[in-house]
Amino acid sequence: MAKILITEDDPLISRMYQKIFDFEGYQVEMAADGQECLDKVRINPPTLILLDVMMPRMNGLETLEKLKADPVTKAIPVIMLTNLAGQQDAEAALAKGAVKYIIKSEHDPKEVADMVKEILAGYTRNEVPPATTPQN
Amino acid sequence: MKLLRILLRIITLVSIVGGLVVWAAVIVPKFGEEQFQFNAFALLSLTSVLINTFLITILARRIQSSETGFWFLMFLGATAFWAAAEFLQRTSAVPEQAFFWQSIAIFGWASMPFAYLFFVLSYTDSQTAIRKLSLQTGIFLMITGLVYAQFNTELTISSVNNLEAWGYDSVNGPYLNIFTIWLITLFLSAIGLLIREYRQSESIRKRKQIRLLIIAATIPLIGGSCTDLILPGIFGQRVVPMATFLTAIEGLIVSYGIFQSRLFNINPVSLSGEIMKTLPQPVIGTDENFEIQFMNANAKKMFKQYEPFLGKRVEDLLGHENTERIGTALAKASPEEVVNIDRIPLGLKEGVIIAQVQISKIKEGGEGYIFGMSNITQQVLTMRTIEREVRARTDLYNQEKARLFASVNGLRQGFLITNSEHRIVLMNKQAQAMFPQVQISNVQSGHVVGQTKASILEESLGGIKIEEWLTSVIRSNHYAEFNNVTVGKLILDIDILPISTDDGAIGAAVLFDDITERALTERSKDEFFSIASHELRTPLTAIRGNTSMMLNYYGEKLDDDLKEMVQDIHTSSLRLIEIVNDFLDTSRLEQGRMQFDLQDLSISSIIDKVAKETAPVAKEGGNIIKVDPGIAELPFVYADSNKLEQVIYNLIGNALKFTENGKIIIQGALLGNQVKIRISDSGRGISQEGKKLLFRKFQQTGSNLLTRDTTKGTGLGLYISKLILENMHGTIGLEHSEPGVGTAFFFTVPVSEIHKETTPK
Repeated sequence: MAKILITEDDPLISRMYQKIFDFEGYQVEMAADGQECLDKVRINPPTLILLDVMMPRMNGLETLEKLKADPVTKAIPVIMLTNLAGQQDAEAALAKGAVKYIIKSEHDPKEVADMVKEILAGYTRNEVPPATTPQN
Repeated sequence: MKLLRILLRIITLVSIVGGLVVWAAVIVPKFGEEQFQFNAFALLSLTSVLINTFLITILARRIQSSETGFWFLMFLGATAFWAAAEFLQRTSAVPEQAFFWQSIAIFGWASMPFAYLFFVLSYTDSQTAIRKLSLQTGIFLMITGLVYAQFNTELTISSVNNLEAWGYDSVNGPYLNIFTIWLITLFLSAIGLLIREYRQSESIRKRKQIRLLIIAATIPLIGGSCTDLILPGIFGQRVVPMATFLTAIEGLIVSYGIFQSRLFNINPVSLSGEIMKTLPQPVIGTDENFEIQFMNANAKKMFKQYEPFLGKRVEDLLGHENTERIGTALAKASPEEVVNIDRIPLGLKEGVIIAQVQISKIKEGGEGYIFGMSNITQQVLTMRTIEREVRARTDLYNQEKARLFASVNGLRQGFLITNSEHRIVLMNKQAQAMFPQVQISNVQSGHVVGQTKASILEESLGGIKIEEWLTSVIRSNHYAEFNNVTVGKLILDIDILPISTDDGAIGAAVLFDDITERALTERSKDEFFSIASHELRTPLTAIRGNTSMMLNYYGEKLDDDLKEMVQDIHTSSLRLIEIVNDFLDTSRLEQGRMQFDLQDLSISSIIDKVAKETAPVAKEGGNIIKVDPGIAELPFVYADSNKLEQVIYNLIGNALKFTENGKIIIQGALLGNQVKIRISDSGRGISQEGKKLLFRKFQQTGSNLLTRDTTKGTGLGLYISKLILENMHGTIGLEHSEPGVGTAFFFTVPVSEIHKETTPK
């Protein structure tokens, strides 16, 4: 059973995603900010991380960097979630090693779940693609 | 020579006085002897005596101890003496007595031409002639003594005398001897000198005087010679002896001249007459009452209209006012000073001229003034014109400067000017506020103190090498601009413009536009939209997601109405999300803040993707989407993938919205260097009015704001698509539309460079 770590600061959204992955039969873990995410990843590594971009204290991109810098965690696929309009952020995230960049408002939760399923299916077959920018 | 002159004076004086004394001593007693008888001719002599004596007494006072005067008196005296002796000669009853008196008379007769000659010499200032004559006179007197005595005695004794009839004159008397000729020569010399003086003199008055003197001298010379010498001596005709009488007449005439024109004031100008003549300037000599004594040729030319000049005064030529002015100036000045009067206007025949007059005072030999004039009209006019020009240009320059500076100070932007050495020469007050390190001497004029070099600004400008840029601008004569430069708390747009002349750029003007507010506003606007859209999207996502999950996982548990309500909430959330997206896109496109990631891509793959995504929606409307296979053959295009997808989505979406149970056909073609895609539907078409509103913002807005079909979206779709395609150097448009038949839209995107050569035409 795949485990999803959902890192989202807004309870409205985090509750919503928790439900869908619950309904879809995943093991769901929640983190409310970047630091909590990192801590929980080390304690109990998930199969996939859903990471919100706009968060207090440590934002999504910073968290992503840290995840990919740590050899223990860098193999875990990360999907960035956002409601921001900028395309630069998407590029930055993908360059830092995120697998996908999703605009939350554009998709029904089921679609997000489908996307996750696809990615996980893809990665069981292949290696998780490394970050395109060198992390040291 | 002076000694000789004095000697001559003494001799002449002695002769006359001696004669009078002899006359008194010798004759008077003889009168008692009754040796005299009346003779009519003697009356002439007597008249002469009386006239001359009379003249002497009157003139003695007037002559004012001038040398000329003295000699004239001598002349009169000699004539008087001669006449007196002749009178006694002609009234003598005894021949011996007559001869005696004749001898005496000859003294006077002899000295008279001398006196006259000396008079003329003095009058004409013939200094050198006097010297010569003095010597000759000495010699002559010696000869006289010898010859005279010899001649007279012999002739008197030997010749026959018709004494009774002619008053004891000797027929063959000493008339035409050397002595007589010598005396006549003297007289003629005197006249000759006068004539010479007449020719040379510039003085009008003097010339008139000379004329008088010459006429006066010729009367006795010719008349007297005829009656007393030529007729009796050569022709043997005895006529009335008029010599003494005529000489007296001469005396009268000359005396008249003295009274009329003050003959014996030594004409001051005659001393330097030669100098005056040669001057190119008009020169006028006057006496102390400004009566004209002398005018040189140019002066006469200048004042030609006032001829004749004799007797006129300076006032007559220069005018009353000018003369008064001159008089005042002369009164103020010291006698040694040369008074200079600038700019006297003179009304001459040819018009008014402006003259400069210089007056100097003469003291020697009588008072008077010399007026030197120059016509400075041309200089004055030229100067006045130049002055006027200069004044006008200076005014113009000052006006231009003031105008420039007022404009410069009135600019919103900071403004400064640098010269070719990159020194700041002018700065307006806004620039001063931006760059307080540059000192301005005067805010009103913007004049920069010490002409600071522009490099002083570099620090404030965050390291922009301003002087290098100035050099580049000046050299290339082309402007440079720097945008969004932070200077302290301000954000500036900087423009550097060359100041061009025909010879190239001579300096630069730099404008500093404070765009702080605008930049901040834009930044905040941008931030506003970003934050706003983010904030709006979050709750919308929650609504969308939760309603979706309700339908997906609890659908069966909901009864139909509840299910429908949840459905409607979900749909609303979708619509809202679309609205937020449209607004965000529109604002970013309008502000040019949308990023375009242009790449070479295959348009057919995007079309396929969108067709697949919209298939469910199409199915709902009973529509079929058909993608023409030809699209796969199209070359790559150069565009932004996501944005292109958005456009295609919009067009296909619109087609689906307005079509029911119809067909949506997507075709493509290569048109020059653009790929054209056509999306046509068999929907309800667009009305004529509707066509006009296409691609506009809120395209559904018709004549009435309330007449909207809000189910059909925000109306921004086509507007956004148009802006997107414009940014990608493509086009979009309506190909055709007919109500009830269908609509076809098209768009074009540029063909990618890499595939241009390989694509078959």
